[in-house]
Amino acid sequence: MVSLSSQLGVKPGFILSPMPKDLRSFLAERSHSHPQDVLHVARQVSIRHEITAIQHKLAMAGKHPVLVFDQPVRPDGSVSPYPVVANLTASRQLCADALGIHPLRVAMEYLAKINRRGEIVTLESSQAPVKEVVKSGADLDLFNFPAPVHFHIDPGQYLTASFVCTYDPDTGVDNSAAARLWVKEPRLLAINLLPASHSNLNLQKFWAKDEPMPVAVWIGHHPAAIIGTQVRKGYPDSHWASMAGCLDEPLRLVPTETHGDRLMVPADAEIVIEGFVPKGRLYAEGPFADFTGYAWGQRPNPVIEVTAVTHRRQALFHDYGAGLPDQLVIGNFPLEARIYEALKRSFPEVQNVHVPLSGHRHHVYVSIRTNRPGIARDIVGAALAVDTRVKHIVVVDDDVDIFSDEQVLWAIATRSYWDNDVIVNPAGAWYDGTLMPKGGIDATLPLPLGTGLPNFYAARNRLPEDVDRRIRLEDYIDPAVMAQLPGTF
Amino acid sequence: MASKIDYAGIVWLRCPNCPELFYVETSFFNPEYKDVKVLCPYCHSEFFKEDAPQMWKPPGMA
Repeated sequence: MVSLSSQLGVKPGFILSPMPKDLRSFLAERSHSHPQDVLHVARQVSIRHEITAIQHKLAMAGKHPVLVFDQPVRPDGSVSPYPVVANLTASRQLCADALGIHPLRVAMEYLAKINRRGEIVTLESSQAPVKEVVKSGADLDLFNFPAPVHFHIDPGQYLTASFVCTYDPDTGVDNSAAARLWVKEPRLLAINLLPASHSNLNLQKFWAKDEPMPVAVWIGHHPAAIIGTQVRKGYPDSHWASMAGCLDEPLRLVPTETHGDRLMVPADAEIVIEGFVPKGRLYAEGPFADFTGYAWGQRPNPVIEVTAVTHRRQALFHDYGAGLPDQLVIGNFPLEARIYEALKRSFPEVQNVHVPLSGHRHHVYVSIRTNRPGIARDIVGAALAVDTRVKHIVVVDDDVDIFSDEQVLWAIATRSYWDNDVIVNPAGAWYDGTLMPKGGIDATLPLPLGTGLPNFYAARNRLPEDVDRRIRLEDYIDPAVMAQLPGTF
Repeated sequence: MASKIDYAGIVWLRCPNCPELFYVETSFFNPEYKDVKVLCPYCHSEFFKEDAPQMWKPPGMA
């Protein structure tokens, strides 16, 4: 039995390193500053469902430490030399700390980060940590990596924390986007490309020229770099500068082995997989547990024929738990920032935006402070237009904590009247290319009849301010007793 | 108006090689994908959807 204290915090392999920032430096620093945030699982754990099971059960218990599985066991029973890092981005607080921003001000502070285009530097291959090991040809077997099988119906091992780099053949501008990849064969990956994705736009351009699309996939980096990659840009526009902006230091890139400087990858990544997407070679890809919390049906998708793999010695294999908080939080940050930016231009009354975990990117909470009638309804329409994954908007007054699902539901219960306050778009655009009814709820209080006049609503229960300040629970209840007290359920 | 069944966006099939039921996205039925085989996630056999012994499409699907 491994003692809990020995599971937490710093391990000998993680040495506090000088700059540049990468996954290793983050784990080392976090282990020192917040030992309880990094949990090592030293026991052997199968990559077939067991890693996800531990992550899933922790999430159900409301616990979100970074997990390092030191001995992942492959389907053939062998222990992989590459530890699996999961839950890296499962905590909103941890992600905000990685970015140096406040967790309740992500919308505005993350926005400032990604808009500050950082510096890019290019390394020689010999200087790049991700080139410590270079493999091609017969040496190359993707099954050597401990890519987990996540949930019950998944057809095989999937890369989930994988960022696919492509470029627009017309302009040469690169793109880096998260995509799930199924390891079908030792040198073949099936890739899920959504119809409206920039990766797919690039693919269609290459295929229109009867050319295979060059591609490189990188895995494992500092969470700030990963969150910087998640921002949705215009087309075509590179993600590198946003990644550097989030890192607060220059982003180091290196040419790929296969494509040279036509396609660059982060030099401080853990693993890079290179190849081509041949025209017209389609396979059934999936079903796969995805961010919605459901197993999406299989769909015809292209493949990557792999030409080379480079990685660090003893590379760390980063995995997202499909549909679990570590996959959701990093996508919610850019969503909050984009919606806030879009709304704030037209509605200065907007105070904050939250994309709650509970809605799996389909729900958005917006808090406003206004004396203009009709604003909440307009905000619903404007917010729905920002991203095709958004389905329901709830607009509340700024006395409601939009980071509490319970308070937002209370506002809906007490401040909305569905003959007037439910706004429906019967046929909005959905992210898979189909139509989806969408809408929102105006859960704000009625406005006063005029400036200085009382609000036509009953007063909210609140304590007298002096009592609220004076009464501290620890003065009346022993903290040890407090920890044992029952909850509401 | 579409129904909840239509919004699910899936078609159920029975595998011809094992007794399992599974589903694929409705996009699989676009004419451009007629030559792409579906995959039984249970026995991993690949087959053309027309060869499934049973199939259930959502009511709103052509």
